[in-house]
Amino acid sequence: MTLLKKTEILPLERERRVTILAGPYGSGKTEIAINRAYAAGRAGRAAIVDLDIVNPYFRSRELREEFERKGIQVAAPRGHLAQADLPALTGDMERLLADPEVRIVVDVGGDPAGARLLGSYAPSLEKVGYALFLVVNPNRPFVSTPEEIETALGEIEGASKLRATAVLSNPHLIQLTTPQVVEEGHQIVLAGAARLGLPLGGLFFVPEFLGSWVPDCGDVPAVPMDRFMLPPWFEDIRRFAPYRDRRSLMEGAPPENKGE
Amino acid sequence: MTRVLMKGAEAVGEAAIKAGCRHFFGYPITPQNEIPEYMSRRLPQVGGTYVQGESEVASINMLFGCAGAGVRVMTSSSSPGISLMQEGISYIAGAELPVVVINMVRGGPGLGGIQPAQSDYFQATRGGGHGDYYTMVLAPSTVQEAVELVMDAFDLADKYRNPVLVLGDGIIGQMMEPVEFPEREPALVDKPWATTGCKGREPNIVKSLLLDPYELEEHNRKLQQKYERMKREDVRVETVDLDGAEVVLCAYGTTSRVCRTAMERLREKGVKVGLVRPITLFPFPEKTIQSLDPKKVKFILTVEMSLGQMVQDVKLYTEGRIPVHFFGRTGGVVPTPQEVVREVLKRLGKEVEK
Repeated sequence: MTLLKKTEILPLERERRVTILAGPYGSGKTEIAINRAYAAGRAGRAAIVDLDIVNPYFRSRELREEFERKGIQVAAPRGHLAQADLPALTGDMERLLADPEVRIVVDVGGDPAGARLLGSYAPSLEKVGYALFLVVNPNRPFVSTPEEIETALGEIEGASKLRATAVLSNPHLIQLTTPQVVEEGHQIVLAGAARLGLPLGGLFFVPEFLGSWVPDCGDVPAVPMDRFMLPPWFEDIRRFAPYRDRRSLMEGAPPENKGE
Repeated sequence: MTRVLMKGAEAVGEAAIKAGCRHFFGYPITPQNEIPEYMSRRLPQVGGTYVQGESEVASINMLFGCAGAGVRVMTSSSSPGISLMQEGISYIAGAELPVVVINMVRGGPGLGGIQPAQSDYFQATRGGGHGDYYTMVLAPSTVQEAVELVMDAFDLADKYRNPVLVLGDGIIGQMMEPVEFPEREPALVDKPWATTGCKGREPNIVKSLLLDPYELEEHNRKLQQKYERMKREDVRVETVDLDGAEVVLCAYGTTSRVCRTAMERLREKGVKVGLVRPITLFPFPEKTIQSLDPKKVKFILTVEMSLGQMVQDVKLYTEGRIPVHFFGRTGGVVPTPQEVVREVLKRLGKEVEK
C-alpha cells in the first residue's frame, strides 16, 4: 500500500511541470486541482490555472485570496469577468508555461466541452511536459460502469488533443461516503481505466468523511485530500436528510410527524 | 434505491423523467443550463422529445401545445427567462393546462447576475403574468428534496390542471449532493379534455379566450376555487423546534439551510430558536404562522436572498400579533450563518461579538 501525504507530489507528477485535471463534470477536478496546487506550492513556486468555462459556480478562482496568501499564483479572469458566464480565458497560461521555475496545475472545465480548450495550448504543453489526469467518480451519472467510463473519458481525451497520462479515481458520495463506497467505486474505475489502457495515478479520499480508515489499493497511491468548495451553510452538510414520507410535511399533519 | 451524486439541475431532469415527463422545451440560461443539457441527453434514450426553442417565448408556447395534447411536459429557466415566459404561463393557467416550470433564480432585476437569489418570490407567488390566477410554487432546500418536489409537481399539475412552479435558486441548481430516486410509478391520470384527435367524440378545445364577460367571470371563479382547494389540501411546511421558541426564523430553500446552521450557534448561546420553512410558497403555510403564540414568540425573523419579499406574507398572516423583522442579502450574495446569528442577538438586545 502506498499512502501519500496531502501535500505530496504524485509519482506521475514528478518529472512533469504541468498537472492537468480533466474529466466529466462533477467528477471532482476542482477539489483535486486545489489540493494539487497546495502540494505544488509546498514544493516550490506554483500556479493554478482556472480554465473552467463550463461551470458558473464552485470554481477554483473563488479561492484566489487563499492561494495568493500561500504564494500560489492564480490565473483566471479577474474583476467582473471572474463572475461572468462567458468563455473568458486568461492570457497568463502562456506566460506561466514559459517560466521553467513554476509548477502549474490546470483545472479544466467538465466534459469534452471543457477539455476542447486544452487543444489550443497543446503545442506549448508538449514542449514543457505535462501529466493529463482524467478524474472520475463512478457515483456520477453517465460514468457508473466501466463501459460508460471508457466512452466518457475517451471523448474527453480526444477533445483535449493531448494524450492522457493516467486516470484518477475519486469515488465518493460527499458526506455519505463510506469505505464500501470507496472500495466498490474504485473497482469500477479500475475496470474503466483498463478498458482505456490507462494506468491509475491515484485513489483520492477525504479523511473528514472516513475517519481513520485508509483505502488499500495495492500499487496505486492513496491520496488524502481536503475539501474547499463548500456551500455557504457548510456546517450543516452532514445533516443530509434521506428520502422520507413527504406527507408528514403537509400543513395540518399531526405535530409528532411534522418537521424533524 | 441506489444513491448517486448529482447536481441539483441534473437531479431535477432525472426526477422529471421518473415522473413520466417525456417532453422538454427550453432555452439555455445560467445557472440552470445543466437541466436542458441533461434532458437533451436523456430524453432520446427514453423515447422522449427535447427541443431547444428559439427563445423562452417560443418554448413556453410549445409547452402550451404539448400540455394541451395531454402529456407531461416541463421547461426550465432562470429569472430573466422566466419573465419572458410569463405571457405563456398566464395562457396556460387560463386554459387550465398542467405544466411544470423550473426557475433556478439568479440575481436581478434585469439581466442582473448569475449568482443565486430569491428575488423572484413576488413574481412566483402572485401568478407572475397578467390576469387573476396563481401558479402553485414548490421550494426545495436540498437536491434530494428537489427530486421529490419535481416528481410531486407533475402530480399536482394534473390534480389542479394548473402550472406548478418549482422555485430553486442557483445554489440548488449547481450544488452536488447524494440523491436517491424513490421507486414509484408515475401517477398518470386520464385527460378527457385533451386534444388527442376527436375520433368518435366531439372536438375538445383548449383556449384562454372567453369574450363574454359573464362567462369569463364564471371561469375566473372556477379558477379561484382551485386555488382555495390548494390552500385546503396541499400546503406544505417544515417546522423545527417551535415548541418554546422565543425567536422564530422563517426561510425557504437555500436560506433555510443557512438558518439551520445559525440555529445551532444560537442554541449554544442559550437562545430558544425555531424555524418555519415554507415548502409551498403558494399556497403559503398561513396556519403555521397564525398558530405562533404571541405570548412566547418575541419576534419572527424572515431571512431571504432578496431585500424583503416573503416577509410581506409573514406579516400578512401574523396580523400584527407578533413583530416581524427581516434580514436579507441580495444580488447573488448569500447570507452567512454568522450574519443571521448577529441579527437575532441584536434584535434580542444581547451583546454581539465582532
